[in-house]
Amino acid sequence: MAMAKLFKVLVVGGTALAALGPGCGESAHKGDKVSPGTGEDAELRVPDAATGTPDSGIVLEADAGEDADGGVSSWLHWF
Amino acid sequence: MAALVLSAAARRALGGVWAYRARSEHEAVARFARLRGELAAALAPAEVVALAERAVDDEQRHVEICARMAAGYGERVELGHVAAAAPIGAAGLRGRDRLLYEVVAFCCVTESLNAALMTSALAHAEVPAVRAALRAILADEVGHSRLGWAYLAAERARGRGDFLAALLPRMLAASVAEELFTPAAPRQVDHALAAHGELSEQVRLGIFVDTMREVVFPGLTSLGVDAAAGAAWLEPGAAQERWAAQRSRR
Repeated sequence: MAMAKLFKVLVVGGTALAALGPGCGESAHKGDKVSPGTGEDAELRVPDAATGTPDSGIVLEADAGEDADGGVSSWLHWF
Repeated sequence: MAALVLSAAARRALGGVWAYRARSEHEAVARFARLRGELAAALAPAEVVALAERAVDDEQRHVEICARMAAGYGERVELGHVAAAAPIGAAGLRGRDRLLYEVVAFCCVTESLNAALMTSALAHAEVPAVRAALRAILADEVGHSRLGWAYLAAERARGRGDFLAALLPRMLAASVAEELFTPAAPRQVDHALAAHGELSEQVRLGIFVDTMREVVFPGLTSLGVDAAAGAAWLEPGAAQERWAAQRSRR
């Protein structure tokens, strides 16, 4: 299999999206910025894991709590 | 065309495979729906949020394709239960770090692996219906993998994600059945199954290793995430040690 091609399509293609698309905190609509200094804003919107209380109205709700990384099913183990 | 003729056991196996996939894709619908909201809340790049939104519809379509394929092999798929799509990540991870871990595990690792597996399955498949199904799903999986790489790139640009290097082994362990590393005797290749797009365990293991070594690890490295711990986890000796340890615990 041409893994080099897969790298190009997935990794190079994906990272290019981040480089070419609107910056973080900008909406998909041209010139319709959410707010300046959005990196810090985003940090504030992350809820405290212990209390589950967000710092703003938007909730980044999920918290893994206990170790829980066995839940993603790939097509690899299908028997 | 003789290779396309299936035994009853092979037909049951293929029905089970597609039913498993339908349930797996059903879970992915719920996972992407949750991730879409979390990515928006984290002010991820608009393109990333748009990809997540599209992925919800993609996965729903995949459920229908897989269920239809399962039915074609005589297997009925029950999807009445609520799909579990619990957040994943190490216990110590919080907020944006946990979100980044899940996106990397789900999109950069699992969806990249799915794309590689489907590419290979498509190369082997001869049955038109199987080829059509694989091709339709593969086109979407590319976008799902890219979502992960785009988000990781954006977070790395903000200086986040160094913690991923140390957590790579556990991320890999969760993405592959350890049984694939079992030093079992090579099985005879079932040409009928291959014609229906079903790959042998040996082939699947090879794809897993190649995808990690030639796609995922270089991708992480290119974004400044050290993949050494992941590469060490994948070494044949390490895999055999894990297998021996697992057996001794039984």
